[in-house]
Amino acid sequence: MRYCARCLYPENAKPTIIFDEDGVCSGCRYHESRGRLEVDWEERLAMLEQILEEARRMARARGNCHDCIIPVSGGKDSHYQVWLLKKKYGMNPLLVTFNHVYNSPAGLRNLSNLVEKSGCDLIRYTAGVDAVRRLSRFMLQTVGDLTWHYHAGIRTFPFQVAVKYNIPLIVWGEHGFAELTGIVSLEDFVEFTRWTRKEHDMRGYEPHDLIGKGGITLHDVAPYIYPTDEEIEKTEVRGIYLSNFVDWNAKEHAELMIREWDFAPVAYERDRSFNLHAKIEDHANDVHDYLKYLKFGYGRATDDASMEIRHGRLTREEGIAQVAHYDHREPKTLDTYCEFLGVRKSEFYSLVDHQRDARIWSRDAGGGWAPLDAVTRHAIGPEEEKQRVRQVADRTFSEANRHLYYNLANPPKATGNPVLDQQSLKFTAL
Amino acid sequence: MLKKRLIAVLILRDGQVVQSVRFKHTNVIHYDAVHAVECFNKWAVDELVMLNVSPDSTSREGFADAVRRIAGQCFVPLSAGGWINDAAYAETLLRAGADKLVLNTAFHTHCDLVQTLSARYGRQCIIGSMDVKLQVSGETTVMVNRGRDDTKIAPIDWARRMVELGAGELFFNSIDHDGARKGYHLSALQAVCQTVDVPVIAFGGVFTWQHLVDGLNAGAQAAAAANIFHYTEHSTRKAKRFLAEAGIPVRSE
Repeated sequence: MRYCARCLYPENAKPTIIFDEDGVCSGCRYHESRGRLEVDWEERLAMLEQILEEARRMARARGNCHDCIIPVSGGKDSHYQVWLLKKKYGMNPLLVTFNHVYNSPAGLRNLSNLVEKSGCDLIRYTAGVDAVRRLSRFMLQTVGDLTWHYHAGIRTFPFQVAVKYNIPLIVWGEHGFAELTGIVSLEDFVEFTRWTRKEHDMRGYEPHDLIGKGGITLHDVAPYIYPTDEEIEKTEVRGIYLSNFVDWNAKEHAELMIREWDFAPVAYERDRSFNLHAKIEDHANDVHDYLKYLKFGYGRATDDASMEIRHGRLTREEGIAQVAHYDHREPKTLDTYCEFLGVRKSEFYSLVDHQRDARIWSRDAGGGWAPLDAVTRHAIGPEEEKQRVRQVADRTFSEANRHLYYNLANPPKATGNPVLDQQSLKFTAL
Repeated sequence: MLKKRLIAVLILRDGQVVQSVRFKHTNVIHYDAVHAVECFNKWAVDELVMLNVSPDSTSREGFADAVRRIAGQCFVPLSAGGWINDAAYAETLLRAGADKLVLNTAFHTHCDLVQTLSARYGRQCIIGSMDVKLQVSGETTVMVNRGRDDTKIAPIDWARRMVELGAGELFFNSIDHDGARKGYHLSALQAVCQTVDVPVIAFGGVFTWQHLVDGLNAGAQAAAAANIFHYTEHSTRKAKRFLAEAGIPVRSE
């Protein structure tokens, strides 16, 4: 397997990745482009203001009190998006949540916090638990994804709401895929398109492709049916990404939201990564991420360490140590989700068998699966030395960042709130 | 009056749709081109062009498979090109569902092949593709072999030569403008359009809908773009409306 000379991504990283002649991946190049001289953030903020002004004008003309929609989960990015639009730009956003169903107590605490602190209106859609179970089971066995419903839901429901309430603008936070592995460049000012929704978020499946499979009915998939082209055009709704206009720095935004609006990271050691402030809203994320490891040989510690490396807060060596510690670990919540889906743990593993990437997994002599490669096995050579990122003083595992990243040698202080201090193994749908 | 066409181009490298920036492939946009085609179909595009820009010829079979899958979804004329250096492979692409073949290097290295294909399938089936580049000498010449080799031939001479060898249409691209977001290389494009009497497709550098208008006003019969159409919802439809509003005769939706 080939690994990026700068971060830790392998060549089979998802959704798509490409290496250039220096052995650096498209995600690193995207990240690097933020600091280039030709990116004028002042000019981009002015572009954003213009888009927001246009949305306000359209809302007035339509007699609408909401001028935009912000899809939120309650996480750090949701807090920042709402804070920025409401506090800084004086918008009146309608918050829209597609309930993950697999909510963690910390996630529910933060969503509730967001609604209280922002004072915004919220629409929350909760798909029926039985439908979620059917969809999750089917997607687990076909593509190894038990979180399809909320990825599909959060990319669809805001557009259903936009059409229903005649709201012309949806404001997403970062272009998540570009931040991870590339896909587009910062110069493209890419907007939301239904094909990234289908191809990446929904793994190539539109709701109608699923009817009749695994007992899935039309009723089960109703929340994931995208409005028609005609409806979208009539509402004139577009979805923009703030990360095209704002110099996106997830860690700074998280810190800001902890200070301003009491967003709360968790304080216990997580099963799959050292990051304590991202993707903490539901447990299934851990199993979801573990599936990524079972299929492609890397997990969230690779994602999180790669991001820290790009920012110069971790060295390659430090990042690799995190990958070695976390990426292979089976999450404690696996039992919870097997029980919910009605599969035994052995069955769960056998369902993944046919989805293992043959470039990274093979059967060993005992019939078990063994990775053929890992970034941890690669010595740091001249190519990697050349691509080292200049290190900054703000170290990932410094005392100042103790509450944001789990340092094995110096774990975070307990917050006193059991919801944040103890890992829960059960989820709460509402 | 003959209507002007809007063409979406899919740049495929090892089966994945990539962004091309001055002939370097910077990002993978789609792991499966079919998803893009489903949208373009619905969004009023007039034609599709698929180009295989993989660095080696072992990609030929995989590309033919991609053509086959896309042809099954595509309701507009489909052209395919890249690594066509023998008649059997040309036939493979046509049987896979391509309506036209896009040939580039073959016009330099396999002139007999181009003539044979043009005679066999008709000149309407052969699109002569040209990649122009501004050289350090200050001259603009035509490059072949995925932008690697300089033929040292001027664009208008090359265009004339492609038509003589049997091209029924030309596909104009500029390596300096490709993915550079500054519009088509208008002076070279205009010179080519004035030189030949076959339709010319403008390509390379589109970043605004006005760039499409500029290319058509420079004499092109069709305006093509790749990267830009992947960035926004209903992109090709919006582009088509912009063309119509600019007074360009286009096929209505």
